Amino acid sequence: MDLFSHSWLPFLYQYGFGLLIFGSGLFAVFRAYGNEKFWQEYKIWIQILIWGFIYVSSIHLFMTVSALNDMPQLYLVILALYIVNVAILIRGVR
Amino acid sequence: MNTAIPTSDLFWGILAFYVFFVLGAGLFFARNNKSTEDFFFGGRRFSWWIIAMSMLATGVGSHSFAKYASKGYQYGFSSTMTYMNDWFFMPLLLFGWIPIIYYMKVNSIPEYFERRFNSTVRNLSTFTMLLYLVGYIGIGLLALASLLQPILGWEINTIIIVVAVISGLYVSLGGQTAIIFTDLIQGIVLLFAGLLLFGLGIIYLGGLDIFWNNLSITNKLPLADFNSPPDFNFVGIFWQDGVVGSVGFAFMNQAVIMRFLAARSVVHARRATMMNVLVFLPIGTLAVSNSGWVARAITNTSPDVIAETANPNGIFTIVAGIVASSEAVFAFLVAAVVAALMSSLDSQINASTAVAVNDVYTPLSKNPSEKTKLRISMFTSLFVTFIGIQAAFLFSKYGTIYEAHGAFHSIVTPPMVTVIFLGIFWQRFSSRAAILTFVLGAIFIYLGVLYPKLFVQPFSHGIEFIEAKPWSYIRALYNVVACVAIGVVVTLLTKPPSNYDKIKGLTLWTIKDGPKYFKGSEVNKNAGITIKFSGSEIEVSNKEDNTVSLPKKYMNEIKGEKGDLIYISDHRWYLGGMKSTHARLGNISENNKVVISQDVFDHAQFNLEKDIIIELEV
Repeated sequence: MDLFSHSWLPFLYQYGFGLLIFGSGLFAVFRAYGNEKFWQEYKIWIQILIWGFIYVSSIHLFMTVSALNDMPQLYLVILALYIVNVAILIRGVR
Repeated sequence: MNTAIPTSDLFWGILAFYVFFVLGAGLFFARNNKSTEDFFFGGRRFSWWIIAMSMLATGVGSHSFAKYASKGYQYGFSSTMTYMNDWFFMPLLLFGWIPIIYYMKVNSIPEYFERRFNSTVRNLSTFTMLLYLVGYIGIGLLALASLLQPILGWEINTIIIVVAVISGLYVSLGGQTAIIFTDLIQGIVLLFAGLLLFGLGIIYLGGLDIFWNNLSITNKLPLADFNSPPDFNFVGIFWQDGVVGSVGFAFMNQAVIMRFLAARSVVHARRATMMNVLVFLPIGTLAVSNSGWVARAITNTSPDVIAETANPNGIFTIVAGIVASSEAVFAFLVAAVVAALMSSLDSQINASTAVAVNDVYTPLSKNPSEKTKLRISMFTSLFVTFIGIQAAFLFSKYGTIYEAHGAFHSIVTPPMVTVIFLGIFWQRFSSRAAILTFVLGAIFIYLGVLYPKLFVQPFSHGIEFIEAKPWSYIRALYNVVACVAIGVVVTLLTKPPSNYDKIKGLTLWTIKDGPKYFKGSEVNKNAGITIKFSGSEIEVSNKEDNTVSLPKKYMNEIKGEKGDLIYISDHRWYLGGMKSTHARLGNISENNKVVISQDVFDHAQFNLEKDIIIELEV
């Protein structure tokens, strides 16, 4: 059974367009606030924004690999990722 | 009464107790509403964690239990595939939209449109916004009625009316503070109940391995098939829910806008949004969908327990009735969902009222008093609830809630979303272009409805054409492209504005002017400095000028000047800003006391035996 149109095709489409939207937004914000100033003032926020994109896409990535290869144990990796995420954010927003 | 799931007095007792407890707690916190700013924005004073939980309850509660559980039952994990797409828009939301609406004191989207463009654009957007919000209320009422129907066995329309009356009365009495505190309680209970149901479902099935093994590979994939079937395909739902829906919810949903504005500062609004999307929503996803997944596994193992023909809209209640270990647990699970849906409903009703009062009543009346506006707000809450009932009746004839909501979203949202985006990110985007985006956009959307094969097919990505509901999701892409094309072409064909002074602070490129506008004078570079002192040092004056006068030592410490904005609060973080308010620094006090005016004290409701903090703002 060919599951490409049910797995990697939508994944690539979603995160391809997602990266375009996210990247354009970040670029526009950098330009509007002044590149260097924005980085200095909001460094931690920018790092969290990029981390968020990686985190969200990783969840779908691991879920896809888990389903295709019958590896439910990958949900433990997702759980670990979630815990790391909570720790990063709590530290970041303090 | 012809009930499908038998219940006893214990069940109804628990359900009634829970609902009255949650609603009563909200009203208790809202007893000090004194103005429309309190009624709609809770005095702009809440901490990020309360706002985040409130956002979760508003987002997750809104029809999600019925909508995502039903598709979870039919298609598995992919039911929630667009749940976290919001992150794609975060740079623009956190650093564009939130500072614009907060610093420019924009109370509603139509108000933004008047300031950014003109009154014609405001009127067009008011109409669209009310349509959007009333539609949301209708979907929420239908979702709640669908979940309760397996228990009550009443006609769906009767349940819609009963639920609407209770929600409308509650909002008309409590306003935003009641909603935020109700949301806080419900957000926590909601997550707990969702996870409890999942745990009970796994125990019922006999373990995680049995749950996993009784789902097909396609059930376990997180994204749906690219372009089939027509009623649930990836690409259509990506554009309808993941893009248009996400932007609509975050940028133009008045209930969400009001959450941002209820935060104590822009930073707290940003933190709340970030924590909501990355921490609370993943759990929320599991909470709203897992009943559908568990039901699918039960159907695959025991079709005699849940038949393949079970009504997907009511699947949460059906699964809760099967896996709950006792009637008390069943009652709790149902109560949690009822409360969650009510929290969403009350948010949307309050939001619709805010738009109706701020954008219809206030411009038409001549300087209404705060008391009159507050009374009008309460009556308007009841009126929009009535209109929401009519919308729910309409949606109930459409089919599944998921499809009804998708079709509604893809048609109503695109013109507004386009004008907001182009308005924020393109200074040259003119009033004329905005008006034509609304008007011509609506015409092109209508043409797409009339002649889908001519207009929508080029965007269909190979999705099969269904006569009754032609490309109900992917038409969102066509609608957005049509609106953006109109906006861009008209802007390029018209003369650019000669100067941009009028839109200072209202676009991403003029955002730096926002803090100055918010404060009313030059910003203080020392903003952020906080001081702490004992409540016994406070003296309440009989003035009503919203000022706080500090002794010289504190004035030096905070590095503030007369007229600076401050946030004054009880030091206990777990109050979340409930005992706090915003004020301005007055003259240096002469008696070595912290002198606060009577209105500051009344608003903040300080306990003078506790420590107080003051933070210099902006």
